[in-house]
Amino acid sequence: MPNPLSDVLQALQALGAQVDFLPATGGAVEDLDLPDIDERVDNWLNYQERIFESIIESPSTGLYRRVEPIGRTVQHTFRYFLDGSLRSYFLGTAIEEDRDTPVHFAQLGAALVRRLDDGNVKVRRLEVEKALFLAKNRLSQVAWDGVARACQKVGIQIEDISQDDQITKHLSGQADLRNRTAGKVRYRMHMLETKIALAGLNELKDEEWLVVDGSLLFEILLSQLCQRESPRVIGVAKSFRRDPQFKVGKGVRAQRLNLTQLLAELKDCHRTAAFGARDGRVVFWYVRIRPQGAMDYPLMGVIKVEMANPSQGPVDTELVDFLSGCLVAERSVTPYGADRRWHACLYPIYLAEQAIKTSFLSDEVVRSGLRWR
Amino acid sequence: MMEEESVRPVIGLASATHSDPNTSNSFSFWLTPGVILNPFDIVEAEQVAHYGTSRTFGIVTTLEHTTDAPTHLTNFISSNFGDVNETPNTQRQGTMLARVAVLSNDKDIYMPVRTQAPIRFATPEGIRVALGIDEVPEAYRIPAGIIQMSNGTRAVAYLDRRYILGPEGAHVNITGISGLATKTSYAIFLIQAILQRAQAEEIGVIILNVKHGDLLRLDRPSPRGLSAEDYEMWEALGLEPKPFTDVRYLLPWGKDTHRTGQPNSFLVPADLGKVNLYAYSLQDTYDKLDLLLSHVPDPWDTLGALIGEVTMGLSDPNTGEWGPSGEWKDVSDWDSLLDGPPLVDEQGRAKRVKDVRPESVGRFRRIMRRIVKTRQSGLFVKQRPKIACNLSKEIAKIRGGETIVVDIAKLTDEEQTLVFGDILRTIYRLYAESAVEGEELPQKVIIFVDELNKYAPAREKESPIIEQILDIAERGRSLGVILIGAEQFMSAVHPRVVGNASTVVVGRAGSAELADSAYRALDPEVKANITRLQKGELVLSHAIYRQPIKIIFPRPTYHQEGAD
Repeated sequence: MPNPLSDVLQALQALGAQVDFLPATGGAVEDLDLPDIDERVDNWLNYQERIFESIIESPSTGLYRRVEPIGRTVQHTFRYFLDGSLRSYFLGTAIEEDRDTPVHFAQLGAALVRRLDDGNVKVRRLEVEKALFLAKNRLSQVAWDGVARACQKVGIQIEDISQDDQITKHLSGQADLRNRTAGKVRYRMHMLETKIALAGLNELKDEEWLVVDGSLLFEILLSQLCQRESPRVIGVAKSFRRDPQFKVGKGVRAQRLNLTQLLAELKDCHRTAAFGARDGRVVFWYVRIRPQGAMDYPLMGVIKVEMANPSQGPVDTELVDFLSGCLVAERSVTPYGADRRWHACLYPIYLAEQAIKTSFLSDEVVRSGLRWR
Repeated sequence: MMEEESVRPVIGLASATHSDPNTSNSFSFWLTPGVILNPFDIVEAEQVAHYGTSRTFGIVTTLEHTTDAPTHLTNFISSNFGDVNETPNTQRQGTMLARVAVLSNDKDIYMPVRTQAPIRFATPEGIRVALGIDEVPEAYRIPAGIIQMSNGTRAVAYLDRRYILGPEGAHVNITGISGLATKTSYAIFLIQAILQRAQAEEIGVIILNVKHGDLLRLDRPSPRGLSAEDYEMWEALGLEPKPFTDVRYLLPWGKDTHRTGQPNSFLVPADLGKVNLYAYSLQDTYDKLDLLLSHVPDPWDTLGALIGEVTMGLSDPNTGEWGPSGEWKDVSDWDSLLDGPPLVDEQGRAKRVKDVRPESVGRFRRIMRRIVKTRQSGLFVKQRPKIACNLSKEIAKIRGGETIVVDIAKLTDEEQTLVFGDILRTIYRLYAESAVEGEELPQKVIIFVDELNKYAPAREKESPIIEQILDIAERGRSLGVILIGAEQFMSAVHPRVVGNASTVVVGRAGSAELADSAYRALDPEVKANITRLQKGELVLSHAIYRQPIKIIFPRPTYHQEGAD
């Protein structure tokens, strides 16, 4: 069986022709995810806002609302589910004169699954790509062009980790390029998710909705969504930033709640009021899909739901109730034991992630296939 | 073949994982949703070959349903913490996984089946290859039942005659609690198949009827006739559904037979011309007393010594035939043996006989009196009348193509042992010892007996009857004497008897029974499946098969008891 990473090796050889290479000890080393990476990404995507003052729904103005589970057998609304996944490796350091750049390799992908009438899911779209990550500003133009040409020739992506984007700019400066790579790989994955999400939206039939894992605040996606009229897509986050504050009520009755306070009072099968972000282009709310008594911590069993709101006006309470009810029904089944965030995990999203991960080359293959000699 | 493969659906793909690899001996595959598969189905996997592809055949041993739930708690929580009415919004990912034991490869390639290799149900031709039947010449094939697969495919399971009737192997053992008359029905079916496929005129059959009148109407057709399904099966097996021909019945003399003329049997065969009565006088039994006392513990061989003295005393020293002489000259029947000299003195007390002490002689008399006098069924007579025959002489007349049914159903245990032992000894001597030129003996003799455990029990070290059975089991193959034995529990049969059977048939059995070492050749998965066998289903293990298979067989064509 030929080396499935011979394409990446060719690109690396092109790089090696121009620069010296200090390989990682023992071959490719998998980059570990930062702790609470989803929560951090939510922070980075949403960093401008921390205090949310406006309940952006109508006619309800209450802080909590009970919702009834609306399962697939009652009304099959959520038909498509999208997730992205990545796995990256540090290969070594490329040294040119007195400059150097870390060289990372990543497998990243996005999958769109469709749920059938009987509750089974089928993969509708699945894209997996291989990419190299280097800092362009640490290499000569000749070296960069050489490796870029080689990547193009063998069909793999190349990314400049020195260039800022919506995620990377929040990570440490140019000094810690390896740390920036984590953001860059994630940015690349979100790009792929955006591409598949927009394709998925075009597949939706009447009354069908798409559920995207994570936030819709990725600007490239959001701007596309806001160009449409009522896009039937929601983002569902299992982990979210914990520092926002919510100002509710008016006048002397006004009070400010932090997230823990807000969610501590959120009962099973209830949702919070919908709040606006990004000038109302996005509305978000929280839904408790599992009883608090069965969880270890008040924030467990709660999902954050985001919906694009191109009109920036108040959203219909009935719609938010309906979507929340559909989400509560998603509590069955759960990947308990297989994913530490099972309590807030939507199973079809988990399956989409599995579809991507099973398409990745295994660690053993990557370590053996990318051994730098 | 390519065209055929495109028509036959792929029912799943082979699956090998890090912790559960496929090997030369086994592989796993996941099933396409909607496919129904069962243990014992035979499947084929696409396999590499030096040129083109080959086929690896295997038999399904276990089916598993596996899901991505790491624990049962996961499923409990998935139902909203134990709400049985919760409907899963998304079906949990799961698959049916089939475990397969490799049978063979049609190009002798025993590489493990690669993951993702397409799996199909085997065709009837494939099943023959899988079991090695294709390597058995047509002339040696004996149909032993039908393999019925979940997709409706049927194939005939053939046995290799050379492993049933010798010389490569011999004997059949049938075990299980499958249900009424399943074991007997199968034995009779198999004998019919042998007679129809081998040269019947060269084979003699002796069948012991041990229960009711089960086998006393072998030559009569079933009054109900055959169902269409049974008829189809007979046809598929290439056999003619007909009762036995050329049958003789030997029925025991009873207590009232001298008055009524009726044998001591549950029923009397309709055609009296085919019936003979048999009885045992002392003259018929004196050299078989060891068989009669087989069940009596004799750790110091005192009974054995006395039996030797009795036999010698009652034999003519010149001919070895019956001929009491010397101090035994007055012994002419059971009464004079047990109550007269030389075993008893004038005062009616037991006497020493050579080295055997009076106490042992007394014990012999007590036991013998119980067996042949007080608790006998009528089999033992003072003098055998003309209308009753000597069983061993009658058995010795066996001809090729003939079936002799010996009824022992109403006899006591000791009497049954005597009769069975007498038959075995007669046949064994006929083949092993006499071998006179020109004697018209059938080339093979098949002896069928149910409740074999009574005669060759597992935990008894040795007895005359066990020795006799072991002689047949271990040397019958070369002599042409074939034993088809049946019993409820194989664990209760002497291991050397079962060990010498090249074909073992197992009906439904309990897990405790299957835990016995007698079944150590069967995989745990096969054993688990045996506990679930239905009536009429049997698991067949044959010398040429790489794995046991499940078969069904048609109802017999003779008039079975309860059929009217």
